[in-house]
Amino acid sequence: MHSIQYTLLGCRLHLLGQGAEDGDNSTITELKQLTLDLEDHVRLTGGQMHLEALVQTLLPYARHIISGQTREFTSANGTVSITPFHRGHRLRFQKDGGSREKYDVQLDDGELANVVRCLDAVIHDPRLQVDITAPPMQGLRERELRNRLPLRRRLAAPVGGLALTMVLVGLGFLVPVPERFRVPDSEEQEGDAAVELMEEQSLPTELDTEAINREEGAAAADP
Amino acid sequence: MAPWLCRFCRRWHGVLIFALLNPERSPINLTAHPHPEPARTVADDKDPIQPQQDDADFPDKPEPRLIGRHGLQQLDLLMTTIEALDFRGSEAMMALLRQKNAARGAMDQVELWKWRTTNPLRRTMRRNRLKQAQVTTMVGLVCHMAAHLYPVLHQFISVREDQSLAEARWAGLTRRLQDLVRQRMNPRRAAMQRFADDEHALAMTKQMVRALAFSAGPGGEQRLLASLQDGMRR
Repeated sequence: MHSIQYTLLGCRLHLLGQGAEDGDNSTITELKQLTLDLEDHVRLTGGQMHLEALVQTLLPYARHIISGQTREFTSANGTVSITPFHRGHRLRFQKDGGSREKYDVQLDDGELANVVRCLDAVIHDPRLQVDITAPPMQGLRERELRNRLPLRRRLAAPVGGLALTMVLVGLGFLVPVPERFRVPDSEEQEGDAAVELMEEQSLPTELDTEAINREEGAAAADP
Repeated sequence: MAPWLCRFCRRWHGVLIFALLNPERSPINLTAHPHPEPARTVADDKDPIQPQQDDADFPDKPEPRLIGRHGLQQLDLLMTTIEALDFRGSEAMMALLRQKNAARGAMDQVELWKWRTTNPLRRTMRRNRLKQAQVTTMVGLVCHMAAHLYPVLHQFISVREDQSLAEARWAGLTRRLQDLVRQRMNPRRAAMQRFADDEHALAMTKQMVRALAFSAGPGGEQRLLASLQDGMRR
């Protein structure tokens, strides 16, 4: 068994596994156990699955901290999850050995930064020949950056524009119509008379009572 | 006239459409080039037809922008925070740049200042676009300096430190950062006017220090670059 250890300001990540001895350097090709000691008050143990889950969750989480947009991250297999909690972070880490119990650890920014730097060292270490890669990092979309501006400032532009439009429309109604576009009173009266005439023409003038009586008589004669 | 691009002199030349349509009757000899191809020598192993490394500088092929306006602001502000954290930060950054770019050529403080003045919030701002290599160099520089200052950054962001001591430390750093920002940035910008407010300046300083702590080291370069590209993806 070979071991590699990464230490940074109270954070210690110890990897144990099978590998090869190459002079002074020992390489690990198959990871058996990882032990993470945080400031001597928490000790997390797991295997390669846990290490992968830590890399898949903590590195994107740290990337979101840099953007000032923290949110919950959970690994694909649910082994590790991290979420913002008060002024720090809450790390849930599934216990080793197939049990469903989880460690529930609260970390501050300093402790989390230490763990992240240890994981960076693991990824970039040529001695660890295990297939663990950092997830790709991309810039956040605009809709993911909504919280960067307060709601009042985000709404200021559209609400202001709408209010200005309404004020301008209202002012437009207050402006009097110019004389040359005004319709004279005599034309208005002629127009009204024409409308009345059309309405009279469209109404039935008188009922054809004889035809109605004939139809009624024919209907009564039929058995 | 039909324009065509010369692959030797990189200029547009005009050719009469008449000459193109009737090459036999045309008084213009289309086969004769105003810039004849130089005879190739044994030492010249470059094929002029194939795109070369120098083509990156050609104005017809502008490099895609690596970071936007917000990214440039953040990058310069992170460098200013490093200077606020360490009084000799700018000298250390220069020394590191000289060391990194020793093979490429001379790199002086003015050159770095030119790069940094692409920040739109600066008093003296340059409108030229930074090349991708320059942005990458600056990001690497910030991450390297953050790794160098990591013990100090860790003291700032750790809540296990003594509360009163931490508050005094934050206040000192915020004051130094405010002074630097006042000296260098355009005070007419709204963002810089807000920076005069102590509460806002403290919040910004905390965000900058957190960003530096989480982008320290070689692994942080990818994270920092991604965060500088925020808002560029649709």
